[in-house]
Amino acid sequence: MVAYEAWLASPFEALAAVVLADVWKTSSFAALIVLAGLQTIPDELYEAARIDGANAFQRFFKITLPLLKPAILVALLFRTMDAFRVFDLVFVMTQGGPGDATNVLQFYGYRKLFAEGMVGYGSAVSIVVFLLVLGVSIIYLKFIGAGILEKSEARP
Amino acid sequence: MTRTVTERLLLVLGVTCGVVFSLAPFLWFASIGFKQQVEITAIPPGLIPHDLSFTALHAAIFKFGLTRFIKNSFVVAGSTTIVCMIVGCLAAYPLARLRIRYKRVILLSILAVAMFPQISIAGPVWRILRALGWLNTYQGLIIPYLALTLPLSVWILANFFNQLPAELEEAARVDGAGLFQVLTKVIMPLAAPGVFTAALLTFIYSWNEFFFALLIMTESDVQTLPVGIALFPGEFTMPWGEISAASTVATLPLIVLVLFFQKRIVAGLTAGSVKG
Repeated sequence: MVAYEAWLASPFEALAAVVLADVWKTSSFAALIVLAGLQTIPDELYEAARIDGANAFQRFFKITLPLLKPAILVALLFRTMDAFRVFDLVFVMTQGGPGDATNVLQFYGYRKLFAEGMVGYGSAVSIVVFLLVLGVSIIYLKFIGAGILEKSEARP
Repeated sequence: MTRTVTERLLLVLGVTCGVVFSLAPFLWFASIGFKQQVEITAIPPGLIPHDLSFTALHAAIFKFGLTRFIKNSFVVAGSTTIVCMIVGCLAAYPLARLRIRYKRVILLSILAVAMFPQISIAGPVWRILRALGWLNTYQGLIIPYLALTLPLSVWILANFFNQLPAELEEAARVDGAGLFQVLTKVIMPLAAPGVFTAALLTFIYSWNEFFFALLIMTESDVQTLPVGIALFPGEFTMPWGEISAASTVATLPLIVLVLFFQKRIVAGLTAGSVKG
């Protein structure tokens, strides 16, 4: 007999469940982007490595992973920004509860602004979120965006 | 490269696991949607419905007004996509072709805008819409959606325009075509695949969007599918069957779209960054 436990009723498991659901929902998207990156790696590289006697692990870590870096970074960028604004999962699954265990920024701001009608407080929350994401965006764009732009501008 | 039998077996096994993992949630609610009421709450739950039952779907349509939500979703997502493509092309073309000062800054800020959490603009948007009397109207949802989807569309379109050879436009210019004519007669036909990709992504985004739809559409007559379905549960009821049946119906158009155009969607998302 298996014991059933209500995950959404205990703080830690509820948070884990929201994370799990988001990972489940979006990992295929990340896989798609990485797939696109994989398709750009020429087969010759692997053949050459084979001839040089590289085993599967070496081929993965010395060829696949370094060449996949741009694709992985793009997926990372998209996913970080999306995860920052997770809302629907929390709204549907837990409504921020139990307690405040799954009260993510976007849901918190929403509740203050619209459910509790605290316009000033809610706006302050929005500004904090805005600044947080601005910081993260700048860091990301510095590392990834610059590369993207240089490539697209280099074209005639 | 030839593969050994073990390698091939492992490959098939891995792919199967991946597909099952990704499809499991959809298959699960599709199964719940067509189970009978007793089966839904059975412990342990069965994977496949014993008798196909359409009572849940029937209730979703006639009790909860599923068809109305579908219509609203099509109106909102459809209009957003069309307007977004018109404005997006007009914005992306100059960014891709003309010499503009601070082009790099403009492109970067477009990308940055696309990344902000919706909560940071939700308050002002809501107040503006209320002042205009546009809460619970289609245009009240379509216009914020345009603001949210335009950055990514402009980004994708600009990248596609960039890949087209400039000589074609120069030839057209020499023949006396104006900028606008070049765009509509030369660029647009060539960039059709790119426009199509951007349109698909815009449609999918506006079809799935939840946050603004929840804020702006408070009356069930104008709600879109995600919000409509999320608000199925009453104070003391959790109509799992109806929710699942409705979710199945809501997901089907997207699954069809994505299955047919999977390659283009990926190409659009990674345009200019991975292909390099």
